Amino acid sequence: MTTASPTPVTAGGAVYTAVGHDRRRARINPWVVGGLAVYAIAGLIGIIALIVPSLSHLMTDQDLSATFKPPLTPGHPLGTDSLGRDLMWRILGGLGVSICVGLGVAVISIVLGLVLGVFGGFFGRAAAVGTALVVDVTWAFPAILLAIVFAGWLGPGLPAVILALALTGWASFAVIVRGEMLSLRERDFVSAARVLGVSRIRISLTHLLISLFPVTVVMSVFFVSTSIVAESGLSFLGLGAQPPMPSLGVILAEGRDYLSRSWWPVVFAGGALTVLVLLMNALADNLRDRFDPRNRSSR
Amino acid sequence: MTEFSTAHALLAGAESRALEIAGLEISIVNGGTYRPLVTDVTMTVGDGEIVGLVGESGSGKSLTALACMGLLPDGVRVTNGEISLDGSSVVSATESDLRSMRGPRIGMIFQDPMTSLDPCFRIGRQMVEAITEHENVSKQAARKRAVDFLGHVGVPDPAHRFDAFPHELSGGLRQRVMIATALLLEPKVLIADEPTTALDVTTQASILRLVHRLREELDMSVLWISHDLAVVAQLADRVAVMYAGEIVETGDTGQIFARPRHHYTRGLLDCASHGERGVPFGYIDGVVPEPAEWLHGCRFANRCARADSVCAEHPDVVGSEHRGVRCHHPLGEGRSA
Amino acid sequence: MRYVLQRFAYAVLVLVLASIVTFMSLRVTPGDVVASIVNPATTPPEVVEQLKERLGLNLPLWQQYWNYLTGMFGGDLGVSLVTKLPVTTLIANSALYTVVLALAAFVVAFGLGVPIGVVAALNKGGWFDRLSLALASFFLAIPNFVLALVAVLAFGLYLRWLPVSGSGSFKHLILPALILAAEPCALTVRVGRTAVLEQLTADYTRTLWARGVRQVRIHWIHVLRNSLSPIISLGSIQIRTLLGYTLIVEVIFRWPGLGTQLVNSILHRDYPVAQALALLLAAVVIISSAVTDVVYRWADPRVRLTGSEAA
Repeated sequence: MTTASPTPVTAGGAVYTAVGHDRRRARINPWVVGGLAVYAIAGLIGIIALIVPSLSHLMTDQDLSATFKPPLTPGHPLGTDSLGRDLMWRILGGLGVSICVGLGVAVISIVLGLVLGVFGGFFGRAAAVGTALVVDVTWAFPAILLAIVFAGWLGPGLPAVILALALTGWASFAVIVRGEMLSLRERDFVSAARVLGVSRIRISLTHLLISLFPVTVVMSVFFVSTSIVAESGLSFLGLGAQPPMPSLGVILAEGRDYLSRSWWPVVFAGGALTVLVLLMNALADNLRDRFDPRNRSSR
Repeated sequence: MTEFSTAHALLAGAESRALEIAGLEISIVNGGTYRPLVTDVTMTVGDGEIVGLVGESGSGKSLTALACMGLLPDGVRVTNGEISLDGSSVVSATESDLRSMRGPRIGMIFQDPMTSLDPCFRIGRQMVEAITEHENVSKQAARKRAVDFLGHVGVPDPAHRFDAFPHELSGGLRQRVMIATALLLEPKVLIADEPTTALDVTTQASILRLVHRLREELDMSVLWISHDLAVVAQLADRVAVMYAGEIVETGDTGQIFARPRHHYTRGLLDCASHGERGVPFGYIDGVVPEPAEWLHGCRFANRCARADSVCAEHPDVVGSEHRGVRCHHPLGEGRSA
Repeated sequence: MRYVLQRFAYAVLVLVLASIVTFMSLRVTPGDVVASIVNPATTPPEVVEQLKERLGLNLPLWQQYWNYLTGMFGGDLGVSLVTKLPVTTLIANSALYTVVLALAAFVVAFGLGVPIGVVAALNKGGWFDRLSLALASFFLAIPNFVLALVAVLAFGLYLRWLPVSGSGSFKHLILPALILAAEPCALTVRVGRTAVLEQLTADYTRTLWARGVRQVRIHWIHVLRNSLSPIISLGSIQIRTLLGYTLIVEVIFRWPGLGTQLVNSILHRDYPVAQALALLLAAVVIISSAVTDVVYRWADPRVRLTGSEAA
């Protein structure tokens, strides 16, 4: 690259991007990964604490002499809530719950979505319409509604939440999978493979899975993120985790009742939730950029 | 490298040349640094002349064309040289000057007619828009002109087609519409960037016939860019060959095809010739280099059978602008060996 | 035109299925229905039986469904088990509140989102662009109930500018509408921006420049028009999520709309109300998505003629 810079001599140009500019976005942002790692560790601690009895009391011990302690009180770095419970441990527990639910729902949604999407896209018109119907019916009911219904049936609690979220989650993924399948069928290389005699099933599965990989990865991250938020929302409404189990949503609900006396439960739990979602969204964007612009070369 | 002043001297003594490019250098500019993409391009298109600009993808021909319109992409600029359109400078024009030049004085048509027309608007409306943006005429008058011209370029049933959407027309028709819209404003120069590459051979032939006819009728100058030698051979009066961002040979069509002087041109012609039994396809070893890979000497040296140590020095153009070659060891008369 | 009919026929089919689903899921355990009216432990069994008869709970399910359907077309959606008022009255009362809220949020989301997205795209890389993107990312990430709580904290408690519960005046509408609009607005900004950017670098834009068309016209007529399709299809997805969020926002701000009513009715096992509301919700989603599909086809002339696949 020459370094001398003559005065550029021309004016006027259109607003398009120059040849080959956005190459630098191919790496995943280390801050995002670092942040998520921190959350993973925190969540892990939370999960362990939930399971191990000798630790779980840290989240549920009430101390009525120490209620509404602000942050940075000795022994309670993030303060205490209305019953004197330590906020930090409760948030850790809540993170553990969130991560479990998020991952669980994501896995179920993706698997269901894949199976039904492939089924719908592959086995001809009837199957396609059939799955389309099921998807559209599922689509018509927002997750919250289903969660409330299930809560009515099974009683409020995490199983109801997980069920509701999974049932609504798979639909969006199935649509994407089916779309991909339909477009794949039209593609030239499928016809070429069939001419060569490869069986229909093998074609679809191989090519499909390969081409679906980027989408699946990005969608999984997205699913985990939305499930975590949804679980918190439902717990906030009283439908998810039941006391004394901590959940970010529960902490927020309790914090809301005493908002005028203590801002820290809402701010810390809400902040933890927001930052987590921000990081996950950033990760999803990163991954998408990583997989995508290779296809979009400009010349 | 041609100095700016030499370019000026050239222009000072110019008679009527529709489009003049002198010592053009185009680079990607990134803050303080710049990397050249096109260097030392000098060529002209005279009144009523069809000049073919030939080269593979990556040779810089499209950038040269865009520079003539003042339409270089973001971050890419003319960093040296001059482009003059019928006496007016393109390079030092303001954006508003350029806008009034584009269309009425210089027009451009592009390769893919499908994506080059706004899919949401009917073609007639787009044609009328081209007129009304530059001239103060009524919509009806513009419409009439557009419909007439559509018929003139061979679009059947032009009054109806006027209201069609781009995707309702075939590729050949769309390209005719593009040509019609470009010529509606009667520009002095038309730049055609590979307009027939996306069309099948028959359609291609009819478009070429159309361009011939229009050139006769309108006394229009055309800069026809293509990688297809056959097309250029049929159409152009003169040819310029580009390789790796610079012009390597210029001359009359007949001269270039019968007696190429640059090894690259000869290579291209060998590749293009086909149809003789038993004669193997010609090919040129290697690939066109990216700007970052350009050699400091002759840029074709690493693919040239005739290259030697002299070629480590960058060759200037030998000969005149009308018949020139950029080579230390140009081929002599005749095509063999 | 044919497509419109097809699409709506399909929508009706989905609606019917949805109604069956709602019906079944809430009626499957008749014991529960009764339990919400009287306490089975303390009431004599004959009374319970009488109740079941009166409510028609002993008929086969499909017949119950049929009765319900025919009743629905006759304008009778049943009577609330809790308040003894006709369901239709209850719905009418709260529907208005929800519609107002949703509409306000929709207007803000698109009314702000589209222009911001467009201007950001036209100034790509500039401060406005970067600021808009950053804000959009933030509002997309923050869950709306967290945002609501923070808003309550800030505007309701500390600054005391706006009321945070109830529905007395226009002022009461501001916070819930803004909170509800936050996420859709952010999404619209992003999608709109991307849509415009894609059009700015399209081939036809280059042709327009080459013809010497004015920049103002290129941007605000051609590019904008071509950017519509992605924005419109975004609208359809938005409606569904908007409905879900309206529920939460209504509950948090105690806005007396369909959302609060739905949540309460299910928690109190008031089945007729719950059923009707759930069905209404589903109907809105289904119909709006059908409408958006039709509008989308209109907006993109290419799809008009060539597309013939089902959704």
